[in-house]
Amino acid sequence: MNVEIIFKIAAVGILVAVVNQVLLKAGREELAMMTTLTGLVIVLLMVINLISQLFQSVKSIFRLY
Amino acid sequence: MFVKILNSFVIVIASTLLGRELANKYVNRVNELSALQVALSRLETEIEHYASRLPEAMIRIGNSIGGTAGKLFYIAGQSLTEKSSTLSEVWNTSLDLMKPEWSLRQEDSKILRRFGDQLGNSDREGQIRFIRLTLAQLHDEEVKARAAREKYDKMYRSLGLLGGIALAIILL
Repeated sequence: MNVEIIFKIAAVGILVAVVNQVLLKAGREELAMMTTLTGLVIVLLMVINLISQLFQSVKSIFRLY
Repeated sequence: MFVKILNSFVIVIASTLLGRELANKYVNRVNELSALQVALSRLETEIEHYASRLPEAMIRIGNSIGGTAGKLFYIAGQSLTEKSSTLSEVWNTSLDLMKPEWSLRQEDSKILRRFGDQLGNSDREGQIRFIRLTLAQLHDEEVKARAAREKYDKMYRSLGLLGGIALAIILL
């Protein structure tokens, strides 16, 4: 479990917030919403492996299979 | 590690410059519209007070006002002295020649085309009247272009920088 990914997620989060504000101020609300969603998707892609491992561990610990 | 930092730097700089390029379109449109208005009012002065011939007046104006607007007048004046096709044809050809170079939009070229079509077809007073009409139309467009610039210039610049940072973080 490397710590780098936490920093990456935090940085993407801050950037998405800033871009959101910039776009809202320029009047492009729909573009702002799209960038928020894009940021969300990017972060999800970054952690999807970890999430899959998490579910595997949960399944094996509780023997749910 | 050092290579990583260098790469992210390059990505950020490239993206910032790209954002600036996109923002310049709006800035250039305002400047060109303003230069066109200056050129047209000088043309009006030349026609009204000096009664100079059109080709020389255009070349003079083109030389004194630099940039794309000046170039348009210069090319039109040159082609008028070289060939002797009609004024509107020369004007339209010069407009088409300048198309890849400037940042004016379709509405502005339409105004200019209409101006060119009328230019050779009326007497002095008619021309002066039509120049004034074109000046008023260009002024309206310039006001609109300034508003658009206010909105989009900063946005594209910041988007360029922030997008570059985002790319650098995601990729590296």
